[in-house]
Formats: sequence, C-alpha cells, structure tokens
Amino acid sequence: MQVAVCVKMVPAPEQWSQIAFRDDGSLQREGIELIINPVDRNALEEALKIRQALGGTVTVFSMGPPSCLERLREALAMGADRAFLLSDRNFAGADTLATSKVLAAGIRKEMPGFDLVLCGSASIDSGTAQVGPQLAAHLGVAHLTDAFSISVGEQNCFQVRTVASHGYFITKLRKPALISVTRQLNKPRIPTLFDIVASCNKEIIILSSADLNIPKSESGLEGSPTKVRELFFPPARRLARILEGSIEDRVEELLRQPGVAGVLK
Amino acid sequence: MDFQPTIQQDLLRKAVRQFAEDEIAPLVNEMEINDDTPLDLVRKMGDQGFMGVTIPAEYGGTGMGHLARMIMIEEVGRISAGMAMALQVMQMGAGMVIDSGSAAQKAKYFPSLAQGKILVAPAITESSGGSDLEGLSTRAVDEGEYYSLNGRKVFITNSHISELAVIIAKNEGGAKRDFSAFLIENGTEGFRRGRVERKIGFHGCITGELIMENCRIPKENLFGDKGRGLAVALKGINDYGRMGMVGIALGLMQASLEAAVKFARERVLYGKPISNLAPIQFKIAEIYADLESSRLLAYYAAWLIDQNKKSDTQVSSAKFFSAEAALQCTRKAMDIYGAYGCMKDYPLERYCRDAQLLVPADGTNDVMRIIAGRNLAMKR
Ligand SMILES: Cc1cc2nc3c(=O)[nH]c(=O)nc-3n(C[C@H](O)[C@H](O)[C@H](O)COP(=O)(O)OP(=O)(O)OC[C@H]3O[C@@H](n4cnc5c(N)ncnc54)[C@H](O)[C@@H]3O)c2cc1C
Ligand SMILES: Cc1cc2nc3c(=O)[nH]c(=O)nc-3n(C[C@H](O)[C@H](O)[C@H](O)COP(=O)(O)OP(=O)(O)OC[C@H]3O[C@@H](n4cnc5c(N)ncnc54)[C@H](O)[C@@H]3O)c2cc1C
Repeated sequence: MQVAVCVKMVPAPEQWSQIAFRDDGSLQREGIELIINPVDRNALEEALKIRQALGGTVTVFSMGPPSCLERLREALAMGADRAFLLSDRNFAGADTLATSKVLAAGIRKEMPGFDLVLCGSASIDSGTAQVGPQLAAHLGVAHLTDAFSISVGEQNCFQVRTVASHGYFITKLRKPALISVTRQLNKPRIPTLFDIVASCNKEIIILSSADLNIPKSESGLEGSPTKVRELFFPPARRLARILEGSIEDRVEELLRQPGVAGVLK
Repeated sequence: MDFQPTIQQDLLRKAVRQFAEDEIAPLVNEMEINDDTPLDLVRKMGDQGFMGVTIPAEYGGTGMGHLARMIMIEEVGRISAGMAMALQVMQMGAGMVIDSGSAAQKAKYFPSLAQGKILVAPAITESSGGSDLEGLSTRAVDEGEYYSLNGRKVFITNSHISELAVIIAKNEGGAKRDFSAFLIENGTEGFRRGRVERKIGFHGCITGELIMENCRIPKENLFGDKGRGLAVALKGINDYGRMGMVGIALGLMQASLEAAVKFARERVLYGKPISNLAPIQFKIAEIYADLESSRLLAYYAAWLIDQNKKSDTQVSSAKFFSAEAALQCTRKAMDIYGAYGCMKDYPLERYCRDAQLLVPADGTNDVMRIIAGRNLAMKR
C-alpha cells in the first residue's frame, strides 16, 4: 500500500499570543516555533499502521518555508519512509486552492501510483478544512472527510467511519482515494530513541516550483483567488435561557431544544 | 560556541517530554501514595530506548551520549523526580557494565540491559557512612573456587526491582583502599533484599537494603579488575550518578519555573495578576537565573564526559550548585503560591521534598565541594 500523508506545520499554540497580523491579512509568524498540525500526526499514525499491516511505503508531503525541515524530521522519526518539502518563494501566501494544487503536483510527481492520501481534517491555525477535499479534486480521486476509523477491506476498498451529527456513516471507498481524519482515529506514537537516530539518516527532499512545473501565476499569492478583506474577533454571544416549572417540565423543555439531544447523547 | 541543540537532541527532548506528559504524569499521584515503581512504565521506557541512551549500538543502545541523557533526565524530572531517579540509576547500572564489565559479562547481559529488561543496582553505601568509602565493611574472601561476601548495603536505589547488583566490597586482608566490585545475580545463595526505606520524596523510586550472608559469588562475576573496586564505583558515580542528580535538579527547577509563571499570571490580587508585582517578578527571575546557570554547567560537564575528558571538577560543581539551586527554586515557587503552595493539591510541596534528596544522594554536597575544591586549590 502506497500512502501519502499531507502534513502542515503550524505555529505552536503556546506562542500564538506572539503572532501579529500584517496589513494584507497574512500572518507575521517569523521566530514562532512550528509544530506538526496535531491531527496530521493522527493521519501519519494511521499510515504507519497500514504499512505495518500490509507493507508498502509512507511518504510525507508538506508545503511550507524551509523552517519546516526540522519538523519534517519528526515525521521521519515517527516512521515515515520519505519526506518532501514543497518550498519556494512563489508558494508564499497561498490560499487553499493554491496549497492543494502544489500538494497535488508533489504527489503526482513523486508518488504517481499512490493508493491512499491521508490529510488532517483541519489545521489548528486557519482551519478551513478545505485542503483535503480540494486535493482530492485535483488528483481526481474520491474522498471522505472526518474519518474516525479506517480499515482496509477486500477488493481494494477502504471501509471508513466518518463523523455525522447524530451518529456516524460507514462508507466503502475504492482506492485510490483521499481521506481526511480526526483526532479520535488513533493515538499517535512517540518516536523511540532508535527511531530518532534512524531518522537522521533519512533524506528530506525539497521540491521547488520549477521541480513541480507550477507557473508562478498558479501558486502562492498570485494563484490565490481568496483575498482576506478583514480580520476580526467574532463577538462571543452566549445564549442563556433559564427554564422554569417543575423538574419534569424543565427536562422536557430542555430536550425539545434544537441540538440538545446530540449533546446529552 | 554553538548553543543550538542538534536535531537529534531536539527530537529527543520533544519525544521524552511527550512521553513524560502522556505516560508518567498520570501515574504521579499513585506513585506519591503507594511509593511503588510502576513496572509497566519501566517496560515502556525500555521499549522507547531510554535505558540505552549512552549504550553503544552494538550492545543494543543508541549511543546518543551523556548530553542526550542529561536532556532526558531533565524532561522526566520535570514531571516526576522519583521516576527520573529510578531511570537514572538504571542507566547508571547499564553504563557501568559497559564501562567496567568483562567481554563475557557484556555478552551475557546485553542487549537486555540496554532495553531495561534487566536492571542493575549499583550498591556502594553502608550504614557506616556513604562519604567514608574506606570505612565500608562488606568483606570479600577469596575461597579459591568462589568469593564469599558478607555485608549490608543501605539506601540502594531500585534495590527491590533489580535483577543484578554491583557490590563494592573490601578484599579481606588487603590494604586500606583494596576493594573489588562484584556482579551479583538475584537468587544467588546468601543474597537477599532487606528493608525498603520510607523517604520524604522521590516517591515511585524504591530505596532499600541488599544483604550478603556468606554469599557465594562465582569467580567470573568479579566486576572490573581485582582491587579496582573504588575506581569502578567512582567512574559510575561521576559519569552517571551525580550527573543524574543534576538532571533531576534541572527538571525540578524547570517545573518550578513553569508553575510559578502560571500561578503568577492567574492569581489576581488588587485587581491585577500578581505577575505585575515586582517581588514576584524577582523570584521568577531568580528561579530562571538559577535554572539556566545550572543548565549551562550541566551541559558542559555532560559534554566533557562525551568527549572523554576529565570532568570531576565540573561534575561535582554542577551537583552541589544545581542541588542547592533546586532547593531554593522549589521553595521560591512554593512561596509564590501562598497557602496553595502548602497544599497537597498542588505539586509545589512535592518539588520541595524531592529537592532535599538531591543533597545527599550520589555524594553529599559537602563532599562535592571537597572534590572540586581540592582539584582547584591544591597542586597536582
Ligand atoms: C488569517 C487567514 C485567513 C485565511 N483565510 C482563508 C480563506 O478564507 N480561504 C482560503 O482559501 N484560505 C485562507 N487562508 C489561507 C490558508 O491558511 C492556507 O490556504 C493554508 O495553506 C491551508 O489552509 P488551512 O490551514 O485552512 O488547511 P485545512 O484545509 O484546514 O487543512 C486540512 C489538512 O490539509 C493538509 N494541509 C493543509 N495545508 C497544508 C500544507 N501547507 N502542506 C501539507 N498539507 C497541508 C493537512 O493534512 C491539514 O490537516 C487564510 C490564511 C490566514 C492567515
Ligand atoms: C535517594 C537516595 C538514593 C541513593 N541511592 C544509592 C544507591 O543506589 N547506591 C548507593 O550505594 N548509595 C545510594 N545512596 C546513598 C548515598 O550515596 C549516600 O547517602 C551518600 O554517599 C552520603 O552518605 P551518608 O548518607 O551516609 O552521609 P554521611 O557520609 O554519613 O554524611 C553525614 C554528613 O557529614 C558530612 N561529611 C561527610 N564527610 C565530610 C567531610 N570530609 N567534611 C565535611 N563534611 C563531611 C556530609 O556532607 C553529611 O552532611 C542514596 C541516597 C539517597 C538519599
């Protein structure tokens, strides 16, 4: 099984207070420590489990600045076989469309025969949750989002459970496919000392826009139709309603409220 | 001079920190109450490769070295000083077998020792006083086909969970400093475990007695050359034991700093967080300065050991300096917490109790000053 995992490097939450917004709406995050987007570790863990069960390879792709290199080493220490950093000045300022195009180009070039692409469900910094589905579209494969269980069935199928509002879906997905995953999926492993030492002998390959044959107009800021117009903190509105009457009445009234059934499940 | 950690050291710190937070932290309460070493956790640390951090790859370790080990103990000590103590002595035992064991002994006990599947307890101290090595009274008699040992070792870390012990004993009839070291396997005739101590801190780390009564030790279990017992012990104590205490001190100071900053930002008095008050800021600055100066000395001493350079002045200085710094830092952090600091719901009182154990263990701070002072002041 050939599995590609998309991993985004995001600013460490402990340092978010130090992030400033530039006038154009982009983030000033120089000097902020990067971490692997937490749910992307779950994606990687799942890929490693699949490899353990079925053999094959696990390859990690990340688009980002050179400072991501060190964190990619962590993905190798967890057990990935190869890592590609898609990095070029032209890629800066990308929206989800430009990001997913670059990732698609990287996967097509280095892993044309992939069986499965795993993404996190959303990043913790911008969190659009769009990169996975868009990447699937560029690669021309089916996709599912928010998976919390994946098993590899017979006849080249994945059996996937995905989160739904009052339960879950079970879907069979033919490979090749893309799945975005949630943190409930598994518990990411902690690299052992042996893994750490071994990771230092693995290579991380940097691919530029020239390597990927992506014109400047289709990547980064230029290739991004999304323009950030305004940034603001949404006002926090808390809706408090005090229910009255007997306990029984109040409970019944409570259960009639939309959404409550799911919460009390 | 480059203060940038290597990629390996950086990955190591992250991995150990995560392990400590995920796997050790949930057990701390239980360890405080039961004062038992969770063997499941020991096995997990073994699987992660923790006991083999200084052991060469050909013996089943990773050979990452003493600076890496320092970082590891610091990170474990940040969560549990008790577990850091147990771990550091496990590493010391395995390291001593690499440094002083015979080829046959290494072949017999590795890679299991590097994997933490068997543990060695180094046992030097007796009730006659740990500082006075010449006063040790355990006796070894060469009986021709075997050695016969009699004596009682006290304050031995991991005494009741180790499969092996390195025992330092006086050669019967020998000169004042004529000691030998012996490897004793559990189950050897005449060898048994004695009482378990009840310590004020390092809960989760067992300290107890090992007793030899006409204990018959096969000749091949002589550990290091005959008559070299003190040298064998002192190398282990310097490179591993004392450096381990330094690592625990760093962990306690790091934990104190984090706890102090957190509380100072959250505790509101006079309408503002107390982090606005200069005396609180002073204490935090002092904790930081103590931590970072201890850390620099610690890393330098560890680097010297990794370079195979003479290190006893630096190691001894790091030991007493960081132990005393940890005592002060844990106290200052507790002070910042006011009454909360004295409550068992917060870890501050635990940090203080743990810090006191840094003073005697692996050579008292007075003895550390004597070693460093003698090296520095006297002509050699
Ligand atoms: C303040 C701000 C607002 C923004 N608003 C928008 C907007 O409204 N619309 C828009 O299109 N863009 C927006 N962006 C840009 C957006 O941050 C980038 O497109 C980003 O590279 C990907 O989007 P995401 O973080 O939301 O990823 P998500 O879609 O949330 O990420 C899902 C998964 O995709 C994978 N993935 C995502 N990025 C990468 C990567 N670089 N490398 C490897 N794998 C990756 C990971 O597996 C990740 O878990 C905004 C950026 C900022 C700073
Ligand atoms: C948690 C813990 C774990 C331990 N684990 C082990 C272990 O695994 N194996 C092992 O062998 N031992 C172990 N020990 C024992 C430790 O090595 C001894 O406690 C230490 O060597 C000091 O010996 P002592 O406690 O008998 O103090 P003593 O030697 O009796 O010292 C008493 C006092 O005299 C002072 N003193 C001593 N000599 C001088 C001098 N020349 N000048 C001035 N003052 C002096 C000391 O500083 C101290 O204040 C452990 C101890 C602790 C606390």
